[in-house]
Amino acid sequence: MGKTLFEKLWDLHVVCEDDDGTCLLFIDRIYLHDLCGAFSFQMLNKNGYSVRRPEAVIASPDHTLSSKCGRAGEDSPECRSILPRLRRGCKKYGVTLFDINDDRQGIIHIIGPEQGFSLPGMTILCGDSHTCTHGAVGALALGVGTSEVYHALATSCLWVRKPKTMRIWIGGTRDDGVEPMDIILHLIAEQGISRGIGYAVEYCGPVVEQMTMDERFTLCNLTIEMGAEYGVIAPDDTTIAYFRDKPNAPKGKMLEALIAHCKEIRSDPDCKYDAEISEDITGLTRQITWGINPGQTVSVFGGVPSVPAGADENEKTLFEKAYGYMGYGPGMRMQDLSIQRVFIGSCSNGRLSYLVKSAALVKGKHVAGGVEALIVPGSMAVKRAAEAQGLDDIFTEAGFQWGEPGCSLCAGSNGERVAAGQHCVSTTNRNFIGRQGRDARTHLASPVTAAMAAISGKIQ
Amino acid sequence: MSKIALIRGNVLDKLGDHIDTDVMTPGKYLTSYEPAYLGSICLIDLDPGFRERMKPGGILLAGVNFGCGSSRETAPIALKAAGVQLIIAKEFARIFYRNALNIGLPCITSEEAAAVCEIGDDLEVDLESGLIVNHTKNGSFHGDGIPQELLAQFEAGGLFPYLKARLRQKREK
Repeated sequence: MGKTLFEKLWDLHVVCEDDDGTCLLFIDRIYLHDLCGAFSFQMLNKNGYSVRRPEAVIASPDHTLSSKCGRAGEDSPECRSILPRLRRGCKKYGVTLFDINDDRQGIIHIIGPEQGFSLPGMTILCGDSHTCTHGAVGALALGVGTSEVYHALATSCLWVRKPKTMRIWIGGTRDDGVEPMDIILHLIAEQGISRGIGYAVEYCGPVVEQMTMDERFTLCNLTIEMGAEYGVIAPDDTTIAYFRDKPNAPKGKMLEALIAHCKEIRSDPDCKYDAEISEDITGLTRQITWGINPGQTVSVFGGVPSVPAGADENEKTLFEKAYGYMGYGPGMRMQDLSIQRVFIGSCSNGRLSYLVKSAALVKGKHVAGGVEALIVPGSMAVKRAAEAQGLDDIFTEAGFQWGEPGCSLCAGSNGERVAAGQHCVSTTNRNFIGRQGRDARTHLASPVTAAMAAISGKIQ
Repeated sequence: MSKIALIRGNVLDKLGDHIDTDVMTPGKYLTSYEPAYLGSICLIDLDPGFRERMKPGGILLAGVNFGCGSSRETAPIALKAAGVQLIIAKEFARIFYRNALNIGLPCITSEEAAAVCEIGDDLEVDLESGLIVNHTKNGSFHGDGIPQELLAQFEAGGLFPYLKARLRQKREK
């Protein structure tokens, strides 16, 4: 029997295997952001270990940085506490740091692929659950906690239980304005936020094949919101065209070897998955979350759903908790809701092509009265490229704030928050209680939906 | 198995489905790794009464997908510092499960026990076999015990000593 793409990536990295199937995996790349970096360095210091392969590690602050233009680097108390520790650790252990004024700085899940560190066939580890993003290049990318980051820094290895495999085939016709964010939110709503627990997901099918790399990153990024730790896409010509000119991609014969390798790391025709899902997106409309998890999603033309007939006590509680937190009840149309905040950015949707699309929608228009709109490029490279096209002017003339690269309003770790009671249309990946600030009401959506909401003050 | 494989305590709180790690330790508190501080803000927005109800040695019951979302290790650290000795849930999110074990907070999956047991029940749990005895209600439940290698890792004192011990064994084979 053949192997799946994921199994091939796994087998290529097994150092040894326990009797129960737990494997010690070799880790090719380790990425550190400010929070996981500062604390994993602290563990190394405390226990007296060093970084085994510093050349395999990169660090970039993103969580605690201010997104205000002209930031000095340590504008928030959060950043003042964390950034110096990241810097000290990188210096002590010889880790490359893309610091605050570096042209390569950005959200770690944006800069990994952008700088050519994330390549097909690799294992990639980071102390962040959205590490699954890097699977879009055909890599085995896993988000872990700080203890495991520390372990991997010191040993270049990690004990991992092999997950089951799930194939998600996406086909049909993708209508204009329908973004990967809409597709993945719809999938999560349909399958549920715990459907993927214990699985590695492989996305395939004509809709995926036609996606740009920016779009594939969005798809893989939200895999964890379905409960699955890994999301992978087989590398193809789109992938190769994307990475071949990146600064840290191999050159010459090594590049040719990697391209040849790409043809091998794909699922065999006779492989078997533990679960298979087929999704036809013909007729799919733009989506938005109404509640307190990414699975509580409806069409932008839909309304807040009622508790489903036959729901058990726990399910009922979840709906009621969402109604209470969001401040409305079932039946309310999403289009009738007034919004106060818009955020475009994050490791889900902070890439250049999304800024281009958003700019086209807001050009010559103005943000609605009573709405505060912020747009934060995912990396310094994205920011520079956007500015070279004049996108920053389009946004600021339309009344948006143009920010500096980082996680910004997504993670709530940089002191910037959505005020209590405000509704924020956000291109991020989590609408959990308190995620964007205490009693902040988040509506996850695509950059297209967010840009339209900024202009109209409504969900359209 | 040795002494830590048996745990006894009272259920002091019961949470629902899909409790994410953001509500356990919200983003604005992530610049600390200090257990006492993290324990003091644990579940602060979702359930301000949690820290009142939870006491050292308490057992926490939860529903499905417990610990979903962010990979922040502060979440299990906060629960442990708030007093939680053991979590029994219908289902755990994978990253949370590994993080909890790595910081020394055992987790047992048992759909039945998590549904049936109530606050105040006196439970005795065998971490290895997953057997849960409810002394208050005179019943017992089967849960998924902690996998051998994780328990061994737990007993070896964490990830690192375990890796060393295993590699030594492999060489000797």
